[in-house]
Amino acid sequence: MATIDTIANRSGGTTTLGKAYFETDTNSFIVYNGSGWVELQSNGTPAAFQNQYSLAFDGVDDGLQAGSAITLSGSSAWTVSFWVKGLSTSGNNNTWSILNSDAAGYSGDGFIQFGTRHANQDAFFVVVDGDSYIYAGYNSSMFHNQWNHFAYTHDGSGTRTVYVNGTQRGQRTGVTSDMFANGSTWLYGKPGISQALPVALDEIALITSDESGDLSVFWDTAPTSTTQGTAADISGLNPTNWWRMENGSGSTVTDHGSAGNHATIQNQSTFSSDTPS
Amino acid sequence: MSDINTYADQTAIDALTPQAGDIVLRLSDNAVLLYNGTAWKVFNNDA
Repeated sequence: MATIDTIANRSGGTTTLGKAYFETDTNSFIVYNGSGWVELQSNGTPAAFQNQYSLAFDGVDDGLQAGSAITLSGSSAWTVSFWVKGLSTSGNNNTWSILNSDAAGYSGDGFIQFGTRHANQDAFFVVVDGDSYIYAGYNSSMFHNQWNHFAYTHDGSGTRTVYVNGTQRGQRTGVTSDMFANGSTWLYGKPGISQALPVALDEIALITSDESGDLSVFWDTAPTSTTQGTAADISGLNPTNWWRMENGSGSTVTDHGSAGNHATIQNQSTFSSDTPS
Repeated sequence: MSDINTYADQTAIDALTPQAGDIVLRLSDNAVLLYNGTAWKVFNNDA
């Protein structure tokens, strides 16, 4: 899906023939015609939230890399949120890296993994952060057959908590280190890390607030132990990063958050119409 | 960088082979045109 730049006010826009923006001050679509701005005004009614695409990874060498490195401060509150679905029930005897900032290999600088230890065993999430970890055991049938919501929250004072489908699965206190503080940020996979299971990811978001008190902001229909939920429009949370996977084609995943940190697809990861919707 | 192709008038636009979703600016009257797969839909300048 094509996108155009947004701008608060046309006074700061590039006056090149054909340059287009969505101007947020006026909710207008504007195009420069060589001497002035052509303006199409919005009727003010927001478009209905849609979730048409996720991004599927082949479990071999696919990846998704953020355009610039991300660090979550150890002294401020934040929430990491995403939806994930395993796409195969066999051969799953490895782990997969989501949100990993290290240049190569695993370390204690912060990463999230999920997968299974051996074929057809229960799946798990593990969050390594500040040289220790939270292990969140999980059920493989749910993992493989439905979209699951994952959240990792920090209250700003060292308490970090893992939630899977809204249920607390682990917590640590006194963790004050920055997360994802080392090297470029991979949203999924990275060179040198083995992968074995095809998976799909959707709606990866980083938010500068602790949403542990009301995780329902992330879904319209709550996920349960037996049924998958549906992802909600979280624009009201003003996410710093929100990779929605709605591009539908091409090699870029647009960051709909305030940072505009668009991600690049590696090795033909493919858009899928299978979404938590 | 140009985001939207611009054309002098409708004659120039009629010479195109558009695809659904194409957007152009018609400079003769500053209208934005969007091709819906069968025809150009015209949006007039509000400014």
